[in-house]
Amino acid sequence: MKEIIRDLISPKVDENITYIKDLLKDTSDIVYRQFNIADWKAAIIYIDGMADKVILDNFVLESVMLKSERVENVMQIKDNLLTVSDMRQVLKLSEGLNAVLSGDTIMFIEGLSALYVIASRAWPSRGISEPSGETVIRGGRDGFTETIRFNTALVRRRIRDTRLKIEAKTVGVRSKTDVAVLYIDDIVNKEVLDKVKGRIENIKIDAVLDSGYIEEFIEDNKWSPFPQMQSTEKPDVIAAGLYEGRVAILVDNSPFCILVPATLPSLFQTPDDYYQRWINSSILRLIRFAAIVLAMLLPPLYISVTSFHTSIIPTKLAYSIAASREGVPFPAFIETIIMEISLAFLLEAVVRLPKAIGSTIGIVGGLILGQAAVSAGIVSPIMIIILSITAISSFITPNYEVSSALRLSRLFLIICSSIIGLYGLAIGAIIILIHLVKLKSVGIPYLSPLVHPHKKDMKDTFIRAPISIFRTRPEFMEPKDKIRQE
Amino acid sequence: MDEKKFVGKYGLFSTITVTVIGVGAFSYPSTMANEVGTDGWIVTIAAGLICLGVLLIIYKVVNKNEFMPFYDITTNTLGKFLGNIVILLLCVYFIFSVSIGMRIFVEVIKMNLLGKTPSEFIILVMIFTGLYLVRAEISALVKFNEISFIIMFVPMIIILLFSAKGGDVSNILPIMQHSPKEYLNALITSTYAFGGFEISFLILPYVKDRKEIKKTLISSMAFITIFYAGVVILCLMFFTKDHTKELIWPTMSLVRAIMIPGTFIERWEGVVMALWVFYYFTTFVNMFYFSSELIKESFKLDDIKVTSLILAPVIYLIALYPQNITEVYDMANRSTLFFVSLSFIFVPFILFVLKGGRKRGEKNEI
Repeated sequence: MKEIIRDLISPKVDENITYIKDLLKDTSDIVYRQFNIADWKAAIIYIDGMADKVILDNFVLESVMLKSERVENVMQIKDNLLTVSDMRQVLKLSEGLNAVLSGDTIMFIEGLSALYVIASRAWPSRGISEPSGETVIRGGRDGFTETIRFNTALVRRRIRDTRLKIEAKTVGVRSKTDVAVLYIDDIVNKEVLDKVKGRIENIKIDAVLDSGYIEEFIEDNKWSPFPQMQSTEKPDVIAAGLYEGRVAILVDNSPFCILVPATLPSLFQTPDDYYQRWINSSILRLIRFAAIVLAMLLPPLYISVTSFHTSIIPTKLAYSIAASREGVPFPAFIETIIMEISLAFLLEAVVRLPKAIGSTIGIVGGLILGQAAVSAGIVSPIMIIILSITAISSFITPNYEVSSALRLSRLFLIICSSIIGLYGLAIGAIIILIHLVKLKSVGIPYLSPLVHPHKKDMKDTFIRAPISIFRTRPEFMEPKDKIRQE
Repeated sequence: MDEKKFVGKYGLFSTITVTVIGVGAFSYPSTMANEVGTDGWIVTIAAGLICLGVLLIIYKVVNKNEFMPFYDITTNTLGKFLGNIVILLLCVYFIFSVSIGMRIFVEVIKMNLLGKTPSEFIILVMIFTGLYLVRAEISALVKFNEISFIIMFVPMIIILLFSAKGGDVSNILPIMQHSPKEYLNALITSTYAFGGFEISFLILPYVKDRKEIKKTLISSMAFITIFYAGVVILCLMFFTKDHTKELIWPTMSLVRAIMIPGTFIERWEGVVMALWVFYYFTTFVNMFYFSSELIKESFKLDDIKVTSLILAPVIYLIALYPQNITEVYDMANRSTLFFVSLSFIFVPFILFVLKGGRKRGEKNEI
């Protein structure tokens, strides 16, 4: 699978060009420009569409071709003539070719057994826009784009500390995707950092197309539906994570940056919580928590109560539920499964549709189909109510991956409670709890700070205490520098 | 062996508390009312103090033996042969007690929730879930205990507080009306409800901060005692001692009688039943883990996953053996004395009195 490129650079420009042309034959977008610098032959090679011709024309070729009387020997070209701010000398041909394929330009000069790599990367890129999956009411609306260098700049703007480290790695034998590992040197937990770096280095696949690939390679448990890393498009979330001692991983071509380690309580937090008033945020957090519990428990409770333990609810409610279920041919369990499946279908469809039709389908599907189903007697009205409450509550989860995991858990609980009622619900909840308790994210327990609790960590879990009392960083992360505020 | 020390104060506290407070909590006030009428809470407190004493002795034993695992402490102190016998007897006690508890649990579930489901199925589901947790090793077990504590006690305490409204404090009087012999009998029965603290033998070697252990042990015992005594007092207040004597599961009846105006759940026992699964499960899985661990050490099998699979059918069979609930309680009562004296008196004291012998692998110095 590995490419075979020779390393040797010949001092004769023509030889190099012939070799490269032979290696890269049938590629129509590579440009070979041969010219003279005073008496020496020279050539530049670049890819049309990836290299910035403005730099090449105005700053490389112009000074090199027109002002060449300033130099007397080949060595001086780099220091006195090449008016570009970002260039380096490279001694291996393979490295030079990799640079060309990444959008840089390489320059050969007769008599030089090296080549110069001139940074000229420029390609059409999406402008900074608000990430559609993470809208905020208050806070910055800039989101990452697909170019890794712009993304690191967005993070840098929020951390102007000399101890912010951005380590570069290349992953993927054929894709050679740039991967950047970011951390703050004197805060981060070294064990976590070493584990992450080690796991990235062990990736041997041929192509990495998105940060999702990296996530799957370095996570602890691939069989769990719960995400063990947080992926986000917002630089302020990344910066906040770095300040807590986490490690961020940026992958070229992906606007989704990974934060490691992630814990379940932290996946329920939004940046809004920190930028708005703390009392309001605390209440919102409690509401969020209640909504998620409700979304998980309501359908299984409905099944248990109507199919198994009808004596639990007050008589009046029991009568009204029975009345609304009159004429429905399916037992409660099948009803719930039908509605779960239709909800899943609807959500998937709305994601794929173009924006214009998307919202219409939502209304059509939700209202009209639901109403029609009730009129046809396929489901009961009470099921629709439960479904809507469940759906709305499940959208409160800020993280999309977590909400899909919760949906799966709810399905599991539905099945459990349809087999043995409330006992099944309790056992199902215990099983999910055991799974969550076992889970670790790069060595940190997934349910921290609910397990192994530290008193100081509680101020940012169920509520959001005022920032003035955030004196230390979260202790379950075991950061090196614990003091946040004097 | 060098395991990581990961158990914090709260981990130790919650493990002991959830292991001790199990299904017994639901029938406890009735047994107390039958033995000593209105003095149940006094006996409870006395029993709690005794158990605290035993717990502190356990702490001293573990401390003196440099926080070695329980199997090593026992075999070092008593020698391989006698040590193994004691350990096996203890395992029998744990498994037996857990199986009886399983049967009681299943009977309550069948009475309140699932009249038509076969008991075998209910037991199997419980055992498989327990196996799932035991296979996840001890760190997951402690974490599970930490979360279970919140789930078990926060709703329960809130529910129980509401029940205080309908009760009459004067129902607790008169006190001190019984003969010392009755008090002694009640004390013995009461201590059985505190069984489960032996789990501290399993957990103490993994505790992170050794200085705080004593305080944590005291606070967990205090919580357990106050919980039991509180439940007894509330039942007495609400039902008076004569009625409490007749109820099989007075705590459940207490919950049933609660009226919280405005909520849409009229009959809270459904919610409490779901919670009760947690109460039993935590007791069950902790003792199951401890027994599997001890059997693993005793028979030199490397993996707790194997020993737990061996013990699972044993629990299943013992749980299904009695024909009905009276036989269950009969079996439990008959074996109480032997097991309680083994676990409460024999093991801690013997290990305390006989100083630990050679360290494993080292030569004996005279």
